Amino acid sequence: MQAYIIRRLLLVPFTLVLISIIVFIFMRAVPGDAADVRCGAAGNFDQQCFDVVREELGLNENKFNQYFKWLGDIVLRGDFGYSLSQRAHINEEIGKRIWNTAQIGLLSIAFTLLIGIPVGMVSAVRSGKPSDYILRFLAVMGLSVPSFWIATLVVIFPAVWWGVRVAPDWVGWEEPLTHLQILAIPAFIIALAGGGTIARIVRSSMLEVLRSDQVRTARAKGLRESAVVSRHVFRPSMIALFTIIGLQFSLVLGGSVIMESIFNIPGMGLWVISAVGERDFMIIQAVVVVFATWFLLITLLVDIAYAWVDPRIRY
Amino acid sequence: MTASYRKKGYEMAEGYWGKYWRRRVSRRRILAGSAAAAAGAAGLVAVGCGDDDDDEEPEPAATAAPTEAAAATEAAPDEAATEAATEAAATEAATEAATQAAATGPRSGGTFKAQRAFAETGYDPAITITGYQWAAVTYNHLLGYSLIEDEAWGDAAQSWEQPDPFTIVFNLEPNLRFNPEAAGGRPITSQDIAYSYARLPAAFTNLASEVNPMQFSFMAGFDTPDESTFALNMAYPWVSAIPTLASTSLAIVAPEVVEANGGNLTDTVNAGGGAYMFESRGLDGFNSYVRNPNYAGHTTARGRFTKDPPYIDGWEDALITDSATAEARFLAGDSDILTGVVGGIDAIKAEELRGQDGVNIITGPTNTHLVMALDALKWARFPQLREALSHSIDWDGYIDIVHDGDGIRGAPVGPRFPQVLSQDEIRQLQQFDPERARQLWEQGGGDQVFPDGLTTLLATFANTRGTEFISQSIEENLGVEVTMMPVDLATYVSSLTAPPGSKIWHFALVTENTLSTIPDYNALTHYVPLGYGGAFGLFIHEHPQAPLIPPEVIDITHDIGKPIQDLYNAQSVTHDPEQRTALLHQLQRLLFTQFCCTFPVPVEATEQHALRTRVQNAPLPPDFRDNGSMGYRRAQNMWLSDA
Repeated sequence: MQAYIIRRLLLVPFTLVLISIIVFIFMRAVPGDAADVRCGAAGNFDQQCFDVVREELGLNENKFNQYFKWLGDIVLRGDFGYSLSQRAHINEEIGKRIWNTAQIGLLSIAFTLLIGIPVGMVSAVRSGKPSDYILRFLAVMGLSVPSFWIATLVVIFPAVWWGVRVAPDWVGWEEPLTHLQILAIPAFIIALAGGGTIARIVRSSMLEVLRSDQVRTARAKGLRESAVVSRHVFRPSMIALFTIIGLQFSLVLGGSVIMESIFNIPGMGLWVISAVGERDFMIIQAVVVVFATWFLLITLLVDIAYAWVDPRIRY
Repeated sequence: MTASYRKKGYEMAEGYWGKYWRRRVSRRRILAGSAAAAAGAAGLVAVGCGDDDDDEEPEPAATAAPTEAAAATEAAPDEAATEAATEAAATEAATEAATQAAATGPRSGGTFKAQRAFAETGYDPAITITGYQWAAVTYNHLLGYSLIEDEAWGDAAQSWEQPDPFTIVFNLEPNLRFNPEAAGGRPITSQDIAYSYARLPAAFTNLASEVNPMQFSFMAGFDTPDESTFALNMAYPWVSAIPTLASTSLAIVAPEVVEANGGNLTDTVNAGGGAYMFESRGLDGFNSYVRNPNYAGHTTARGRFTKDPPYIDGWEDALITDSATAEARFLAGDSDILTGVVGGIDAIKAEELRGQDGVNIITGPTNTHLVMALDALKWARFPQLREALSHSIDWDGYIDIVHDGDGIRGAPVGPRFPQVLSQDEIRQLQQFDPERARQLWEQGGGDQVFPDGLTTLLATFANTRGTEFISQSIEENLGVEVTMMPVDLATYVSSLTAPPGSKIWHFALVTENTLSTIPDYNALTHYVPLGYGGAFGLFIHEHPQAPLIPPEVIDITHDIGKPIQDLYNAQSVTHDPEQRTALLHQLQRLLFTQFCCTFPVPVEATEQHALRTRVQNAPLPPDFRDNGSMGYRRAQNMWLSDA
């Protein structure tokens, strides 16, 4: 196991470098840069403006130099540099924003499990009955209906009908109820899709276990159905969940980008969306690297946990 | 000032929890909401009710709904009566509130809650003009300008005179001071104005300023005979100098603050003496402003700039990028204004909001401007094809479809300026004639010149319907395939401004987002070679970028561009109004008849803005718009009825 962990950890930097190259190349392949936006959006098409800004932002430099300077700063000093459009130090901005995104992420994972596991369990236990069909229908709906659409409805309809907002403007923990209110709604909406996935996985793995010999034996011993389910079905069925939960972490990051924009939450997502519009390569690259690092570490943890939960798995 | 989360306007102990029960919800809203909730519950019941027992035949879901509907129908007369009564009561209450407000008169206090869709890219008025709301409220300018009255009003200037065509002398208001955080709140002098204006060219050259050079290139020098007299010497007698001095970019800054920050104010606020000053800047883009205690008294400007009450105590400005959230904030009373992409809201949204509780829609004539730019290099050698293109577009149909019938024909001069051609003449000059279009296209060999059809940019953030309509019109009437390339803002700008020969588009709609002040550059600059015409490829040999472009390329467009530029230059130094109008008419006719290389596009006839009813005394459109000169942010005589 130790050797496996070391091998996986050694792979992380190589993967990150590969990701950094891809994001760097793709960002430069898109037409327009920060100088275009800064000089052109206001309607001033003077070449002089472009030249000054490009020089100031280092965009006139050779692309290889730009890449290695950027990568060198990250590797040697852990410095993501300065944003091209907002001129802010990216490390500081990440520090201010990442916790906001993480809070939505963690809360949505919690909601995902709270929705997905009970729904999957009930659905499996009552398999083939109307409640199973209803729950499966809801799970598929949660998966299929885009979260940004639900979020837009949640934002707009209470305002139109009652003149109230379900999610007020952003405030920190100094106003705990409001803060939780702001976080909970987007987290719940993100969780609808994840909950649907988890419910389906839990249902299918529980059904598999329900048909196994051990369950038949447990029932034959005269155990109550609730005891059978909780002791002999639930725990073995949860192994499959670990992989899915790991994937949910990455989906949550993607989902938070849209949610932060709709609910105006000052996290990484809202930041990267504005950076895309402003062609702020530095922010986009930094956020992609941070998200990629997060994803790689989570998947590593999930793999380790997987082996720990299921003794049959050996690396 | 460092970034911080905003401060709430209430005390934690009382206000935070108090707001949960303080919010008032009208009976009408409760009824509407309850009806919606009941319908939703009925739906859920219809879908979700049932037994887990498979043997029992489930009741068809549809049966529940008609039953509910029948019940609702039975109750309808009562509810209708109740709703009518509620509406009557609401109207009565609104009338009563308005009467009360009128009776008690204007009052001071309160916080105006604004919202904006774009983040500012800096805080230096000589550099940044995107997201410039802060510049309007925190800085003084020499003048303000009203489009409605076509007249300049004094801001920092108390009076002014023009002793000769090259000089304007301003007498400053007494007691002008910077805010307490700028230069210790010392008095503002004429030297400060000279410093502020003198840094504009340097900022443009060295700091990549976004300010249009036309706004300062007419300035030759300044004299400051005493602290309250400022004389502006002009390089040429520019007819638009006075309204230009009202522009937001021409703000008066404290020199010592600029110098202390390395020669720019990019990250520095509170360097002026405007009516308000920054209180905080939040991570979420939430800015708040408080009244500047040093703000000067004004003896002119008809109350628009005022030190004396009534005035609003402060502003909050939230950065809201999502339009649904912006609307929800507005409807919930968390914002006093609902902004659209380019300032106002469209007619459909205005209609939807009209009559909602607490919403006031103000309407007035617009002064906006929209052009269809052609890549001059591609079209300059083919006059017949340009003409064919213009004739193939159903311009009146554009008004019907894109502006729902509420539009006017566009011209190269803003529609509210007296120099614009009449609608009848524009219709004569810009005709939809599909037969002639097809004939000209064939005679000019259009299919051979453009064998792959035409390409346009479909900006995803503005004018989508307009681009689609024009593309369809060209396809139908010329039989040419038009490819629409969806682009975001950055791609749009970089594609539009690509060097000659590198433009991927044949034509594109270009929005005028800053038209509020000057008839001869905000609109006309899209047509002249030394303005955006050059950016669209209409170069002449006198163009500053000419050395970068092969002369043979410029030869293609020079003969078309030169007469346009000459006429433009002539009108810009003609002070006799009649003579100038005649020149501007001549220029507009030239642009219409040579079809190169920018076509004016119809615009909406009216613009709408949604405000909360508590906002009183807001300027009407077209003065309302938040740009250039006298937008609502500089109307300090606004007040809030519930203050």
